[in-house]
Amino acid sequence: MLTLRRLEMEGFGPYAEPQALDFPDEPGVTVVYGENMTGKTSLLNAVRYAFFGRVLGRGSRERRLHHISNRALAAEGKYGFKVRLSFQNDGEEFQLIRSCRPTPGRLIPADDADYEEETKLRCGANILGPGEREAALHRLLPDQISRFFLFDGELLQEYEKLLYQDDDDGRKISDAIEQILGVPILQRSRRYLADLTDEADTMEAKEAAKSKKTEAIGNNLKSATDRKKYHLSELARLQGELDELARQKSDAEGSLKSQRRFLTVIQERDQAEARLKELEGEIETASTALRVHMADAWRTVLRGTVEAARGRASERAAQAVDEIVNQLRRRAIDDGQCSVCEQAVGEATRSVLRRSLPATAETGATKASADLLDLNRFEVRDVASVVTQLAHQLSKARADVARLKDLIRDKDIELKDADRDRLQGDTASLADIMEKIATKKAAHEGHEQKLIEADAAIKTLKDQLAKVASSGLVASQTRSRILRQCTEVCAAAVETYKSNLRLRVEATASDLFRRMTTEKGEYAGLRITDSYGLHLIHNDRAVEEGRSAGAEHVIALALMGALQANAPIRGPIVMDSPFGRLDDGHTENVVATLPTMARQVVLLVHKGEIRQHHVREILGNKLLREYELRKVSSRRTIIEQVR
Amino acid sequence: MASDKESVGLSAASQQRITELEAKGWFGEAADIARLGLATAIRANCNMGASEQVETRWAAGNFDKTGEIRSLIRVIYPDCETPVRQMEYLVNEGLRMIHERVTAGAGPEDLLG
Repeated sequence: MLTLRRLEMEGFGPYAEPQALDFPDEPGVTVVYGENMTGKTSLLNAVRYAFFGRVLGRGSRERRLHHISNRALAAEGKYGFKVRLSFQNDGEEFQLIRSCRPTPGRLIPADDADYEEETKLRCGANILGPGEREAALHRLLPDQISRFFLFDGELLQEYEKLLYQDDDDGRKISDAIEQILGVPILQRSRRYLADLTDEADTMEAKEAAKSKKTEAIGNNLKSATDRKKYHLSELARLQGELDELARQKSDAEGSLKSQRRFLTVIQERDQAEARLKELEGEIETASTALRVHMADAWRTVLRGTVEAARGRASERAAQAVDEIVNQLRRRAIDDGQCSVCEQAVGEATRSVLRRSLPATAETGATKASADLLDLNRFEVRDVASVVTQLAHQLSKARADVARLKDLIRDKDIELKDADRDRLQGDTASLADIMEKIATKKAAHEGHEQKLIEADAAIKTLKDQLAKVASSGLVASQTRSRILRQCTEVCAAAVETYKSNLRLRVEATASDLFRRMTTEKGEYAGLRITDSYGLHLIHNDRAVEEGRSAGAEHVIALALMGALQANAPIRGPIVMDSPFGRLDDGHTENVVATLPTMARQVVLLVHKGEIRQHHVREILGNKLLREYELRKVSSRRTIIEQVR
Repeated sequence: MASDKESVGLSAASQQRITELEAKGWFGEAADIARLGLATAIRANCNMGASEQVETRWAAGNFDKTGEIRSLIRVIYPDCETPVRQMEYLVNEGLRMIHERVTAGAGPEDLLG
């Protein structure tokens, strides 16, 4: 079992001068108190850096090593850092030293490329060579399962993904859990047996092809085994590519996640810009229509005037005609003759009548008719209604344009720190990766189907061979049959082992949960899923849906403890501020449970999460040591042992 | 009595006003604005008159292609013996009226009302 002895840091994070933590040998808890931004996470990262050569930031994204150098020392022109971790495993003492220094000649490094790293692993009196060192570190604490030993509240939240089987991250976590439980070794054994079985089938096919009686079946069997080998090879290749694409997808999503706020802003800005373009088009169209209609505006303005004038002219024309008729009547009465009907009238009388008819009536009628003619030439057009509608449309559109331009300006201010090219690149990259994943998954499924068909063909051919085979084939057939049966037994054994393992993890996790929850007697325990997610089961056997953030937290901690208790690989738990979402009651219960979760627990916490005297009361003699992180300045922290 | 003109001109002030009105983007050409000015002045019962110190802008035949304006002036100003001068006067007066209203915040729909 892996046990930490001593952690030393120099120039790492806020630890400018050499600082150290000593961990007692006895089983129990070491607590390190530190307020925010004093270096608690840096301690967790120092252990992570020692083992794996990397440091994680928020969202589990890898941080650049250049940024880990202590800022105070960097201001003095001193760059780089060193971490020394002493630990023991099953009686062997190890010392792991990892350092990061600027490359010679690089006085002011600017990026990780300007540094060189050195790693040494001493086991007893021997310093291991690079290959031995990496093999030893991988055996002691594989990177893929480090999350179960070194974690913070953020990593704990990731366990919620286990409930969503379709999620890539959930599958990654369940794969990591199986790794810590030792399942991959068994799965590899099954694979090796399957490979041996396939080889035996190939040998059987070759043997069968040697005899005329079984040549045809033998050749067909050889083809089928070759096809199976090809599909297996393709499946392995595709799985490797899918694993790599999953990693790339995770990186791209992580990169986008860190800039998620910008993505939303960019989306809003793009929408605003698209709408702006639409509006500008609408304004152009409406403006053109307005100009066309305003060419007739003068006609609309004169409509009333012309109609009134027409009315007057019509009235005048009617009056003039009436007057003419009256005049003719008076003439007829006075003279006793009618100028219109056929009564003869002397020449002298007609002359008199002509001279006496009022000239103004004819002139009046003529003028009125002329006016009407002129007025009727005017073409009336009323564009008031359409101009009003267009004017209102333009007014609203222009107001919207102004609003959108303001919005775009505001968004541009928000985006001034965004790397848009990178965002666009990451977005396009993620889309490309998703497309590739879909294509490769489809190909994978195709090969899986073909594999099933090849297996079925092999079985049919082997059955045929069994009926007609000669004694010369007995040995290869027997070998093939035995290996096949071994493979099946192994597969069944692995599944049984996994099932039993899940049940043991479930039982341990349930016990831990019942200890940590404040709702004693409410819950029967936890039920494990195939992917190692945990359902919370009420006493009435119903699954508790809609769990609170606090419940998720406690369940995740219960899972961590259960894995530690049931895993072949065991080691210390270093947890950084794990109480984020817990109330006081749950926090105290978790602290009380810590000594049962692992032999060695290092708790990094601030006093706001739990009071120092509470921890002492709860843990009693299981509290082995206490440290405090004291901030000397914004860039320097020292570690002080208080107990 | 002065003989009639053959062209319609604009005073310096009217030129400026028409430029400002063109900038609004409501009209396709300056002649549309001038015709609206003329109509506005007629509607406002503008008297007969003559504009001074004008610079020729349009030939009368182009300004009143269909002869409708000349016909209207014959009816509305029966004593007018110089219809083109009257046309010019109404244009300049009308532009002043329109410019005043637009400066006070009127939109294109208000000029028709």
